[in-house]
Amino acid sequence: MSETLMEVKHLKKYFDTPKGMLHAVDDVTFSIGKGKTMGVVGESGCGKSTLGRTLIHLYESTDGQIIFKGEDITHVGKHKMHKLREQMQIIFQDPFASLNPRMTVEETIREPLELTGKFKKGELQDETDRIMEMVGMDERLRYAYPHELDGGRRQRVGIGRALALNPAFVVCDEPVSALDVSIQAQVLNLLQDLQEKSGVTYMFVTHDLSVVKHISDNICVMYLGQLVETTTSKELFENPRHPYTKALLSAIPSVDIHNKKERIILQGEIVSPIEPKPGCRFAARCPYAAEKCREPQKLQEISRDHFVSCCRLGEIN
Amino acid sequence: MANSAAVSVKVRKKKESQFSLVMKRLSKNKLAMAGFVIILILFLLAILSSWIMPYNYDEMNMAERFAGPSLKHLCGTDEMGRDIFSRLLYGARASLSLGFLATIISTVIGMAIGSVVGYFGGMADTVIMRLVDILQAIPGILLAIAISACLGSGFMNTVIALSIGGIPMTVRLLRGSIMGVRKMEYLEAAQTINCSVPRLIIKHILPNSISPIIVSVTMGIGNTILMAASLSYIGLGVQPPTPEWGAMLSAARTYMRDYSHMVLFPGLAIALVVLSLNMLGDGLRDALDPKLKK
Amino acid sequence: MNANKKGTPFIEVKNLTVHYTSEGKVIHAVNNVSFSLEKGETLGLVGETGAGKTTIAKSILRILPEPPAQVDGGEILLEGKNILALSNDDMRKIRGRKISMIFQDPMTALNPVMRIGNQIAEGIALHEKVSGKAAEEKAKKMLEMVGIPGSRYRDYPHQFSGGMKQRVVIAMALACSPDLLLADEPTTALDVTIQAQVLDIIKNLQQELNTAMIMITHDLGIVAEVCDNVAVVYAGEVVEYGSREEIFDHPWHPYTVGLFGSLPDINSDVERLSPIAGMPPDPSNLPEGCAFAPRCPYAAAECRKAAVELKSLGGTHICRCIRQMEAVQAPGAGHN
Repeated sequence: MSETLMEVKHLKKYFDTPKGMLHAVDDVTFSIGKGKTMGVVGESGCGKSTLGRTLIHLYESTDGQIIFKGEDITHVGKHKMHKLREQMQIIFQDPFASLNPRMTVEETIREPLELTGKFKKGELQDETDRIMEMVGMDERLRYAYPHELDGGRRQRVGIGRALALNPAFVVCDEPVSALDVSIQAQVLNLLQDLQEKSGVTYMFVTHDLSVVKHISDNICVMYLGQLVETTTSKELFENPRHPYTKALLSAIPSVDIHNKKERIILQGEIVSPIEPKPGCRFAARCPYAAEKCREPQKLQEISRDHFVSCCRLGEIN
Repeated sequence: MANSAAVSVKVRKKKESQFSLVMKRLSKNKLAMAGFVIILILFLLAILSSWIMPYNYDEMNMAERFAGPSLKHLCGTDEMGRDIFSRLLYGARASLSLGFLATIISTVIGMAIGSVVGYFGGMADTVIMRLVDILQAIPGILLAIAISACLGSGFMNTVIALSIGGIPMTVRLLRGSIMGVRKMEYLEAAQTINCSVPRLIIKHILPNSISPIIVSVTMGIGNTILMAASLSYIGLGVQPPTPEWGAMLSAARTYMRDYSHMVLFPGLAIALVVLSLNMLGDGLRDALDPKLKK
Repeated sequence: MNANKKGTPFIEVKNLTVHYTSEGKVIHAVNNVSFSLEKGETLGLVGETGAGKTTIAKSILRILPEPPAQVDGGEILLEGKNILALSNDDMRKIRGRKISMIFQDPMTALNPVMRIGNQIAEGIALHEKVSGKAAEEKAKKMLEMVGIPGSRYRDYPHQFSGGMKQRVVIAMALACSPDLLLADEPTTALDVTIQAQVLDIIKNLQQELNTAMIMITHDLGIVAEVCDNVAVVYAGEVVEYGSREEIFDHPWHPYTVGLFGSLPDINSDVERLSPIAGMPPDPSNLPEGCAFAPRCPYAAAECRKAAVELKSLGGTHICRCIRQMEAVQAPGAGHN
């Protein structure tokens, strides 16, 4: 793996809810190489969005460590945080909710440039134009308001805002799942092009495995706040080891109509992430669950860069 | 990347501010524009009243007491023979400025409190909202009576008495509206680009939560004018001989049975203002919705 | 198509045309759509947002909001009878009993203040004219059929997860053993593993009850899983129709080819996707000629002149493109 940009150690994020502690992210450890894309997959409520937001300090972490460019940034002061934020950005899922409806395309893209204070008055306009071109926004649309644009174009504005300050790390929170297939491909290509040009590191959060496979170098699979498996994209799809990963991969409807794969249909329901019992949270739906699954699980390296959190690994594979 | 824009997006040559967009949409609404024009005319009449009123507002003419509407006295005369039309014109000054001033003051104060409460939440929210509850539990007119009884009558005191009663409504409205906006992702986005809290509130939160307030202001003015009228009615508020529509109405009450024109015209004037403001407010509500296409 | 197999097909849609009027603009939602379907078969309607898929389904069930929607022409023949000409009373007897629909969002399809069992039983009692007791029995059986224990009959919708709610909706839709099931993106709101579960249930029940099904989706993967025939819809028109094998092995229309190219495939490695350029057309202002021409890499002058007719490609495969020979020979077109 190349130089490490972001390292996460035993990260936890709990939310205090009226029903009890919600373990949104529970003891997650991984690292992301510079200029690479880390895909985070999992189903709704698995904590993947919370993880992304915690990394860029939109949420304060409950416990654990976040190391960015070799520096511990888990707890930082206000001044330092401002500096960090220019290097860590986020692209949101919903291109309808993530743009201020009262601001024009240009104003939205220009705002981060204004706020950093690095640009003089005259340079602001040039820089804004450059970014609009970079994300493929037609300059005729500079004064358009978000509701006048379609989803794909709105998402381009969101991408422009996030990449305006040339950040080192961008969390992409389901950036294409609200878009139509043909538009989705355009936006994915744009994200890849921008990465090639600027060397930005992505954390790509999504529930869509085909998308994550396409865009990621490494993948984390999460289930109800826990990291169940992480490895390179290639290895994960060729050699999934955790029972949940296997079920997840088998569940993707494939367009290949001639090579039908064996479908693993899971039984049982998802347990609540509020005050969960210790042990593997997938056990309730796992076909291989045993007594020892109720004990806390450990992430073990089964081969180079391939980590799995399952105590029955030896017996089921 | 091909930009063959098949979906027709309106291309603007220059930035159109939200204000001009709203005005454009508003101008398409005939009813709202009618309301707007009537209000403008009333203002103009109020300002020019000193010059255009046919009689002085306090000029008594005992010989022509209780005269009905005629060419000489368009709206007739009152119990002291004063010309009602002139009094209405001049009275518009007091009534309109009372209504607008009191509503604007209560809205500004209410918005300041509301945005702080709505944005920060927590303890401040709990404490202030309970105070607002208490204030709101007292009937508005009772509150205004109590305050103006304490402060005494007079124009400014009446304005204060009327505006305090309007604050809780604005606070509640803005707080609710901000709560709805607060979960939006563009606020998170603003946070990640180091937007300061005041800027966040002014640039991102208020523009998106203010429309119910603007609508409630237009509707509120009418309400305040009615309230001011009630205050005058029971002898508080603006003092005679300064004409004020409510005061005129209250004075005419005694003669309602025999000289109905004395109640009719001030009543019509108040109704006209309230109606036009409501028409304008309704139109504004639609025009302020950013999702509406022109 | 398969019309000549047994004379009258079970359901046949002929030249259906629907438009909406909105703010003085006319939106051509469905233009001249025809297809047919036999009992036990599944037809996939594939297309992007606004292509008119849902409008087609709603026309069949006759639940279009009129106005603003209006059916301009065409016939929908259910066992040879045109249901567009039926009275509202007659239609009510068909709805739920012969044709029923599963909506996309399970969260809004259920009444939040009514026990789920009662919601299922209500439909049964209404259509089958059985006693409350019998309806309850049947509702419990339906619940168990979709994998929910009958003991949860008296629960409210909020006590269920999204996947379970969708299963309740499916149970409701299938309670009266309809002959035709319209499934409008039934799994879009669900997670993949739950989606697999739900698709599995739908497929099994369909086989058991020999129901015809129209599956509306934007996901070609789901089409590959469950459909026998596929109709690709673009700007309110069927641009390509054929059996699953015909469409997936030999996509002919440039739009279909583009859809496949836009899709990151789990089984193959491509560095870059080849998306369709541009945006779907504004349905209130459709381009002259082929609606796809402005985005089509193979478009020629003649494509923009006149409306393009459907042409047979042999078998059941038909396609609405005059440049298909050129398009198919171009590199990158042969998908599989």
